[in-house]
Amino acid sequence: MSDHHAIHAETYQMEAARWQAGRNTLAFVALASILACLAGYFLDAPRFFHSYLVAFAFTTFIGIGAFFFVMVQFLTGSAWSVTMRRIMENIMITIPVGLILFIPIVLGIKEIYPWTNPEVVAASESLRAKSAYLSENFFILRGVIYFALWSLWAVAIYRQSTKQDTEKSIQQMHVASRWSAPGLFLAVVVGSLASFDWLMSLMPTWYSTIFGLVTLAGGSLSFFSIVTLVCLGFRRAGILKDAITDEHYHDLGKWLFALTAFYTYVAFSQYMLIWYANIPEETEWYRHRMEGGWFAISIAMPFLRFLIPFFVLLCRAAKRSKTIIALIAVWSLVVEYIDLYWVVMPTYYKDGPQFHWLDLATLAATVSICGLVFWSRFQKHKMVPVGDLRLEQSLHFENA
Amino acid sequence: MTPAQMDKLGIGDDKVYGVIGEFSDPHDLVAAGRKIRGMGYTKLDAMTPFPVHGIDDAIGVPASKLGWIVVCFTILGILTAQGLIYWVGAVNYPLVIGGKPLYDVSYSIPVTFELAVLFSAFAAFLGMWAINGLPRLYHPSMVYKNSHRASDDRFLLVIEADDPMFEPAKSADHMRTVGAAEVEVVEG
Amino acid sequence: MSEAVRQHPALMEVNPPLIRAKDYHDLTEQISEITEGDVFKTPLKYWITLAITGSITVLLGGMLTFLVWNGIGVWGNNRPVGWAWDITNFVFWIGIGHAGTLISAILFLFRQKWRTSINRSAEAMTLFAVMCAGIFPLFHTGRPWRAYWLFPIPNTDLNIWQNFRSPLIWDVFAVSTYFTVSLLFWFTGLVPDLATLRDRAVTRTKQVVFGLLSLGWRGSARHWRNYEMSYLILAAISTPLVLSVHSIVSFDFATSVIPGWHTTIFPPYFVAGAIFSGFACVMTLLIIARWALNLNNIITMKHLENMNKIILVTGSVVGYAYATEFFIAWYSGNTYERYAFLNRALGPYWWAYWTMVTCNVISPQFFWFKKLRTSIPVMFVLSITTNIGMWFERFVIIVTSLHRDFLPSSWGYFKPTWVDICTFIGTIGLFLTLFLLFARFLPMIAISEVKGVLSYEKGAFKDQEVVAK
Repeated sequence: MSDHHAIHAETYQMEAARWQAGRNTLAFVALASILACLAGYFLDAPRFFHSYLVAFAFTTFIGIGAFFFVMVQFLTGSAWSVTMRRIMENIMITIPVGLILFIPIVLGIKEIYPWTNPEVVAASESLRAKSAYLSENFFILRGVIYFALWSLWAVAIYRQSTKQDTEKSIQQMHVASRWSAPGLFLAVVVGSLASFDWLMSLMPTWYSTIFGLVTLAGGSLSFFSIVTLVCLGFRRAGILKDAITDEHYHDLGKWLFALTAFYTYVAFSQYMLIWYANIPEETEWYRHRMEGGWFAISIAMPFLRFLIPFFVLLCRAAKRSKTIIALIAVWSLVVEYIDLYWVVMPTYYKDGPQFHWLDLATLAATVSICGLVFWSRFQKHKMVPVGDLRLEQSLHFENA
Repeated sequence: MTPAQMDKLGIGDDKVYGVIGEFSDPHDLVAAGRKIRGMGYTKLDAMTPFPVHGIDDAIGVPASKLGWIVVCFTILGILTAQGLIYWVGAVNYPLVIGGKPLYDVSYSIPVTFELAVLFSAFAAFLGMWAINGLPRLYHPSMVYKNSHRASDDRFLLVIEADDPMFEPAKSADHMRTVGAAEVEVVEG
Repeated sequence: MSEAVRQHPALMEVNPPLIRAKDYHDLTEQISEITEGDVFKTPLKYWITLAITGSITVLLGGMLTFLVWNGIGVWGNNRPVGWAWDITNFVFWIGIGHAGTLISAILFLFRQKWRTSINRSAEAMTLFAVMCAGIFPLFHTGRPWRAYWLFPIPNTDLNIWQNFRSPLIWDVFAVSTYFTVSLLFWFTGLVPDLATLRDRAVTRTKQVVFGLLSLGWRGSARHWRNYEMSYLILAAISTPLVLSVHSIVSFDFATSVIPGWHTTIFPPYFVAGAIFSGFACVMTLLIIARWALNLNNIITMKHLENMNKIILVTGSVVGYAYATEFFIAWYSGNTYERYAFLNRALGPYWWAYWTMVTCNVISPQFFWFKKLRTSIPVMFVLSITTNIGMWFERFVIIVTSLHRDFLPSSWGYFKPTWVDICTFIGTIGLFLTLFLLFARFLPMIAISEVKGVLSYEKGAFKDQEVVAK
């Protein structure tokens, strides 16, 4: 790192000037959007909180996706992805910021969640039955515990990985794997609970056991989209050009494809089973989304989420084309946002979506704050895990 | 007159299949294949006990067209299933059961998926044998004394007789120069 | 790989070589000699085992004949438990089959080279397990000779069509597609090895049989290219297929309104359970085959350990599903949902529920420890308890949900009859018999695929001089 003179591709260290430019842009966006959010809060508080929840869920579940897949790589001893792992880890390490990003949710809990209203709870037998769980204090406590647990694990694993940069020993790999195994549970089980708390309880009488997997699948797909875009962005700037090759992009394409399919599978399972059984307290959730302006989004979902990205990525040539996977990555991120919007907003706007400048402002705020954390890591650490013993293998990896 | 020329003129009883060179290491085979192709031969083949990495590029095996056949059959499977479900449920035998619509996309998906997979699998399986021209009971390469080891531990490189550059003696020499342990002009 | 290992010998510890063979010929010999040995010189222990499993298969034949002769009443199915042992066994066997497809298709797509030593036997196991599974719905129809009515064949004897709104017809499509595709995939993989056996055959009969079965395969590079494409496509379509099959099986239950059956997590939960039980079953069979046929060089501890890791992961996924179901049943605030789950754990079938939890969720956790994960006796016992647990899982789902539904006056208690029990035991006999015949008469290991891995490792471990014996 101290080799200031040697700005050579193989040091895998980001140039200071470039890093500062990136940081300045992100800091500017963060500052501007936070100011806009504050303004929005004073102008239209309920609207701000709903928009904020969408943005908060968007970035948080991307972090959980990163958390999950970084641990999977340690556990499976995956070699192909080593050159990209630090980028993934830097996304994972945005999780602790969630403790701060969670504050607006806590402040807006009464505006967002109907179960905070005692009259609503008193009127419903099923809400009375679960009032111990859906209570404000417990909700907040749970949120804090979720983030605390995730952060503990994320930081522990991140430390091992960066320690390996200098130690260059196999020991860190072992320690990271040991953390990763129980960590997977934390990602999936606690991730599901978080999705139940933050998103499912928006309609407190509604329940679906697969909801956690649907949310996590969406977050994972967005995570791979972000990784793809970051790598391609770096490539454009001439960073890590030799480390992340066509073969890596091909595999990223495969992951986008696989997660598109997996998302469709779980989302379709949820829809089809609820549609088929036709039990009133379950169909209610979809019913709201089949009315007014929401119907258009509901009917577009199979195309946005599945048919278009799936058939575009089906062909091997498409998965190997950087332009196409970049387009699909952007597409998946936009659709993930629309999807979360479609999950959250019908409780606020019954008749149909109404876009508001606060949607953009809140999204810019959470993304740029996480982005700052992500970016700050590139100054402190190498851009690839240079101490990983499989780095060579990853550099020369080829799709058979 | 060489057998190949005789063959082209349609005279002579013996039809030459080609020159077979034998290797015991897949890497040597690939290297030899590349050299032989570099000499200008175009009709090359290899016989190996397992798919050898890199041989396709070395001797110029064209890419498989199977994918396109399969895609066509996948679409056919989807159309068949949708047609069947619609026609049976809503046209030929309309009967309201469980208050469900006579046709709906939701419940048609499982069967549609299965038929798409079934059609694709048959296309991938039968299509592969059809393109490969198999099954067949006899092939001239079987005459080669060590052809039975091509499924065990020998890697055979073939210059086929219909290659424009093919001349039995000369091609056999070429095969020796690239390092084949055994070389034989095979007539079948 | 070669570069990495040369630079960091420590990696050997993480990725040791999988195959122990001197060269390609040695490998061919090791695998083929099992198939090629003189039938009359097969060890006596093989024939004794085959005789035992064969007689159990005869028992199955007897039970099915008895069933057809007397009618479905000889099974214990009755109101309120209209689906009982038969569908439990059906789901159990289908689940067993899923590991085969997973090993051959999904691990192939993930470039897991260790799969090559076990995929052939796992695929065969898939086929045999699906056959066993098919027996139950087939005979539950009461008149299996009319089973073609399940398929949409224009018929003049009834003049009606199938109801495509019913998940049961989806099952017909899913299971028959699954069997067909698995068969095609298995046979495709087998052809190059059949060619090897043909080329090594010493008797005329073997030459003719293997000659016909190998379809004239000669290992041409052009053929390999199409072959690999075909294999890749079959793997790529088998992957969603295997997910779809157990998902559709789960739809049989989840599309209903019965508490305990209707829950949206059922599709992935059933798939994970299927993989879990299937891997456990592969494990049981491989440990036996490895011991009986001396396959230690090809099925190494690394293979077994990897499988144990998958058992641990899928067992934990199943645990996740149990927990989610329980939590959401409570969270729903719905009296019936809550009761259905309490009744599972504390009702008259509590013993089945706790057997399931112990075997499926608790016992795989031992695999966290490397020592236990690499101990043959431990993994053998745990693979069997997993299978028991997964059978109980289906029993719990099916029977406990049905025996007490919305109306207390119609509650009941299901007990299997001796015919139920013997039929199930009979299918185990059929399964083992088919597997034993396969292991003896066909190459149990994918020779050509293992050679591919050997070729790769020869390059990778050149300097380490890791060779056989």
